[in-house]
Amino acid sequence: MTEAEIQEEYAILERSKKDPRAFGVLYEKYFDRIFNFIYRQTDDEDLTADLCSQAFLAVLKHVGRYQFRGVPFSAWLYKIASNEVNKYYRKRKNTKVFSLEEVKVRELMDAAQEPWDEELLQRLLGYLNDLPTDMLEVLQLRFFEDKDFAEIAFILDISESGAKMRTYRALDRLRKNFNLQIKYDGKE
Amino acid sequence: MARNEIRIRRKPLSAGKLARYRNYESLMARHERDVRIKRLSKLILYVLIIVILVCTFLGVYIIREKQKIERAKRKAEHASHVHTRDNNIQGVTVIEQVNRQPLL
Repeated sequence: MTEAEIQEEYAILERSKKDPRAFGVLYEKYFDRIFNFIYRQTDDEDLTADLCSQAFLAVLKHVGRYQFRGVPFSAWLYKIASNEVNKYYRKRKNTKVFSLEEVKVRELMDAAQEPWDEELLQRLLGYLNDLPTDMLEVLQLRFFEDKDFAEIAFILDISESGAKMRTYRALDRLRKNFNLQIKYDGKE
Repeated sequence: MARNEIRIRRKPLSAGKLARYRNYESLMARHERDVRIKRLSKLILYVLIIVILVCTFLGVYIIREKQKIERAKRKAEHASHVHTRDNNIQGVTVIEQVNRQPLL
């Protein structure tokens, strides 16, 4: 994201503080991404629609208090969406679901030296099942949402080095198990 | 035991499905309703606080007034009691004096 884009979003947010209708531009811009982000953690369309509305309502409610903290506005939006999902799981005490798109997983695994087949997919599922939630959250934000470590740290309320460490550990195991050439920053 | 449930989706969400859920007008309507409810609750809270404060002041005022009246009554009663007792004493003295006079 360029500095000009960040400034433009900030100007829209400043206008939204006085007139919430001005927020519509950012809603249209980020709705699909936030919906997909939540859907990946629920695998339920109606529930996702509810949580997504809750997240955007929370944004509208607190937009007056928004302050630029060195990360793009979208990071704040993801943080609120992530909090809504966590709140839902805390209330229900359900097992957290991670529903990953096969296409995205394929993109991630394209660097593997092994052919893509059902057996590899099952192995990968087994591997991801063994990962703790915090590592899965980091992987999701890093490889499915293309967030940098500063944004991940802000969204998950951890330090930047903590976000890097979690990604490194998760990828290290992935590399060993699947003979991947993938680098810690997500590039081959 | 698995910590999370991992699922693989063969098809990503279509643009049509996403568009079905995207509705800024309804979100704005909900937001405006929430703002109205919040304002109304604030107003009710302020009115309640004012009513409680007025009731407390009124209560304190009424109790003080009652105490004042009671004090005044007690003072008046005390004063009249002392006055009657003095009279009685005088009266008794007079009667005793009368009684002590030898009968002619």
